[in-house]
Amino acid sequence: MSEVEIVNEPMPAPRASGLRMKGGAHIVLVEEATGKQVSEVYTPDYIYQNERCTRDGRKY
Amino acid sequence: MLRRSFLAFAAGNGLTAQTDGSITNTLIGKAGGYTSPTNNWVGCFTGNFTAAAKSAATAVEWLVANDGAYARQAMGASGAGWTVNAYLSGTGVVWTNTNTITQPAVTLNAQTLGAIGLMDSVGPTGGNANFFIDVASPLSVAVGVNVILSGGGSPGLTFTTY
Repeated sequence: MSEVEIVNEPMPAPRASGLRMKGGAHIVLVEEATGKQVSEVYTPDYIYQNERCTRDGRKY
Repeated sequence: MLRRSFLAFAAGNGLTAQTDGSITNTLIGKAGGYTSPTNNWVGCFTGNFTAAAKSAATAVEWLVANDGAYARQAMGASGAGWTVNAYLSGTGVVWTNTNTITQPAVTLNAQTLGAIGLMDSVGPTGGNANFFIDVASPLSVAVGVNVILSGGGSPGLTFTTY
């Protein structure tokens, strides 16, 4: 079996020119009647901006 | 040894294509510039705006005919719903939602959430989507379920202008 190296890429620095915007969301789905959380998702750029997880989505 | 890298996602986020154009016109003082909204409203979309099209028409907003409770949720007038941080070297300007945004529980039919769009009108249809966040793997939202974007220290929405 090959050894796999997981590379977490660094946060990109702002560009030296131009104007850009990126955005990310942390969305939670909750069943209203019971209050039970049924789903939760972090989009990649949310993870990236908030450093809540590794780039491949695994929480630390 | 294998090295895992990350490919560009078809899903996108940031300014819509329409806003790219209007902001550009504003910057250079040309007609057709960006109109600052009185508020931002959070809209739910079935598909992705996509990184290529960056279009609300591509994403298709939820409809009251399919989800009887659907309503765009106001962020707060005059920017009050956002916490905007000062420019930080190496990062840019980070801005997040201040208050928790809760979409009324879905009624009538289950929905698919493929994107969040920030709209310039209360709707529930019409107006413009100014910026957006795609969900690469759209979520199934069953009848009776709320879509929630938390506020405060663990915000549901985070944008960076850089």
